[in-house]
Amino acid sequence: MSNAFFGLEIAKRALQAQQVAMDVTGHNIANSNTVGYTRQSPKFSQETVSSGGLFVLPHLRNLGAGVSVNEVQRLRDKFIDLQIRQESRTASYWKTIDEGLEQIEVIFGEPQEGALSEIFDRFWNTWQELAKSPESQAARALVAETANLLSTAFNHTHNQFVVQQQQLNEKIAIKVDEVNNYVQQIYDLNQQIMKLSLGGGNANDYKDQLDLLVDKLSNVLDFQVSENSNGTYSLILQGRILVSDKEKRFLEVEANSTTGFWEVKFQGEEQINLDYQNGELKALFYLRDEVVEEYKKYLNDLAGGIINAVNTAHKQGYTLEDPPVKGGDFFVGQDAATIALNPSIDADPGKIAASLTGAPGDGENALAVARLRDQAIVDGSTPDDYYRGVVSRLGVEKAESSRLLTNQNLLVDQLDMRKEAVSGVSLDEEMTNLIKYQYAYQAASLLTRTVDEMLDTLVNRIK
Amino acid sequence: MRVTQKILTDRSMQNLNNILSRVLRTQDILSSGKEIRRPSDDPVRFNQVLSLRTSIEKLDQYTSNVEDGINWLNLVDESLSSVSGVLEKVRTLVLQGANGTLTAEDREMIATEIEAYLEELIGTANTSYAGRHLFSGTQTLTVPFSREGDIITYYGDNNSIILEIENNTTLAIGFPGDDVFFRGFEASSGDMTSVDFNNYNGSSFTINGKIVNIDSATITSLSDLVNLINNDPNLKSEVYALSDGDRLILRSRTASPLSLSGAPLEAWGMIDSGGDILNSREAEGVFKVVEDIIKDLRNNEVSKLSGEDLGNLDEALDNLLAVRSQVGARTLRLENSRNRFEEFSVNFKKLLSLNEDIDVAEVVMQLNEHQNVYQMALAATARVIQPTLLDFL
Repeated sequence: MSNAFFGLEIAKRALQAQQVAMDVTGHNIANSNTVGYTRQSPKFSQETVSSGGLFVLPHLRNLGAGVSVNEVQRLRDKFIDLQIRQESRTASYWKTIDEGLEQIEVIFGEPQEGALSEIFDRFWNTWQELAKSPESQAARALVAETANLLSTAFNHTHNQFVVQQQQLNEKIAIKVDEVNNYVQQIYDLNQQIMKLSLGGGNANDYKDQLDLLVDKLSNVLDFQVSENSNGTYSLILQGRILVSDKEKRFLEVEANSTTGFWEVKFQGEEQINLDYQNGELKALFYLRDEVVEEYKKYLNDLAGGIINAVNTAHKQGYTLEDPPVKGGDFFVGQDAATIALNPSIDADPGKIAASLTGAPGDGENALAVARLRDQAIVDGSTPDDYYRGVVSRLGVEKAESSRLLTNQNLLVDQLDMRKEAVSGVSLDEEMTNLIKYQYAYQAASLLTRTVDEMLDTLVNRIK
Repeated sequence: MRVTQKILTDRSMQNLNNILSRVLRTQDILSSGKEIRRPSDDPVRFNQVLSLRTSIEKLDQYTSNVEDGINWLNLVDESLSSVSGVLEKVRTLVLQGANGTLTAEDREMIATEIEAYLEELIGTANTSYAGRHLFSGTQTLTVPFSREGDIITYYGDNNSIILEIENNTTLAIGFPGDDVFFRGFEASSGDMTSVDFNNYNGSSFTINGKIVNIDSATITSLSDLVNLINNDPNLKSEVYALSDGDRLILRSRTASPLSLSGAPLEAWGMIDSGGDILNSREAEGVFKVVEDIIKDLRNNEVSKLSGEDLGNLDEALDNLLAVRSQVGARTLRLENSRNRFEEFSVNFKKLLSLNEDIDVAEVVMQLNEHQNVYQMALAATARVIQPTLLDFL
């Protein structure tokens, strides 16, 4: 203790430190509702002055010299961040899948009125009616009309699947734009953080933004994150650097030469293998290339089976013309997209071959067609069983994806809460701290006054 | 654990959302009355619902088939009953006409009366229902019988219209006019089961001078040959073909014999090398019997009237009775089916309702429960969110 002004110095440092602490508290309170904000905390540290020398008594060496705030910490648990990114990526995957399956459910529209199952019932029943009165033009017109209805229903459903695939394809392009946007923003932030850290500045708030962007990007893609010593992040996608403090790579879409659908690749470089991916982008690809494609195929198989079987049976019979001739194709087309009633039958329902002998009152061929309903004409099943199987399967898949999504969301909520417990701003806590800092500030002020009075005595009263 | 204001508000929002989505689902169920709105609501039950609906649709179709069949058979029975009535009257007149004390003029009067009855019988045989003739086999659009001069012609065929009454079970409900009223001259071949039509490619035969060509590309079986003859516009007004499975049978539409020629017919055992028909049957049936009676009355063949004619008439009446009992048996079968279907339908609909419809009381209770929970959650949220330390400083 060698300096008479040392006490003032300690008081000054205390005032400064408490002021910084109060600013940090204020910042916390101000940002208590800011998304992505991480609670900050001043790190007080004791100051010591090394006042050595031969003539200083040992117990007076290295006396405390007050306090300073040499760092403002971000209170964040990196392990929870990692878990949240993983789990919310899976949640995003299932959310996209669940939405896609829901759209397929809406396309099938079961079990509401006017859905395919009801049209099937009507279609086969009109053949029964025709079998009962094969000479009736009304019954024939009804068969033709219902066949048109069935064809339109197939065409329409198929078309909706095509539209869904196109929408998913568009979404993929939009997601890739989004990824590029994030990459650019992360790169920019990395630059700022790097500059700040070089100058020894506080980059806490930039880091919050960085974490928020990485969180968002990780919902779309699966990549590794590593933190560099200067506080910036490097994102690695399939062994390539997506973005770091030095470089960035953008993604782009390119139309597949056979399907015409988008593929994702590094700009000007190789394609990204999505097999090992997770997240929204993977879900969009999976829906577009497998799920919707599969249901489209089921629909095509069903339509194809019905077309073949009905046509084969129809050709066995005779028309109602005079003289009767052998029936032609009842349906034209070969799948759900192209199925249509033969235009010549549409124009003249008398061309429906309901008779097996040529006699107008004979409805045995119409009956043969009606009976196809109970025959294994679609991939080893009856058309009813096949269709029911497809829609039930959809139901199971949709129920499963909903269940997984709910569970995953619960998990993410749980993790979010743990993150909030560490990083969230508690107003009670901040107010308590504020009081604490305020009193410390007041006490430091008192210290200044006391030293002041002391010096006053020393300087002015000693005569 | 450190609890922040944000955790409290987030948690409250989550809980409120969860409860509200349950309220929404319950309201959706309640307002639609159906528990299964989408396949994913319950895939197993959805499958059952769809399957039950299809079963009910099928059952409704079969019920409609059976009811149409019953109506049809009732009409057939009414017609046959009126035919029996007329034949009874004819029988009384025949007995009267066989009385040796009558003069030729008396018999002529009786003959004229019977002739009127014959016209009535033909009229009955030509009955149609909803544009379909009851007794023309499957040629339902054609008036089956005509009588010009004293030639009776049958324009129908020997097939029966059929009805599917349940899965893969059909019932013949037609009674072709040639079985019931009048069958023309008939010629039949030998057993043709082993005939290979490829051997007859390009050959031909004639029926009443009209040529029938055999093209093995379109004729591969006996039934193809039958269809070929029946669908030939040149032959249509004179002859029709049928088959009992083994043999080709050609029936003249009138009582007059057929003239047949051609190597194939000879090979099939229908005619001999001289062109004579090997197996033939003369025309027969109610109309023939009545027509014979008229002829015999006019020719004063008293002994024939009381002998052969009366015998034939009784036989025709017996035959008619046999047909009517068949009609009755089939009607009974259809009625049994209908009753069974009604029972099935009720059961299926009950099952469907069990699977698909809601228990209103239960769902209303659930809705109330959810709404109560929602209210409580709101109250709790209001209390939790408000106070902070700020309120006490």
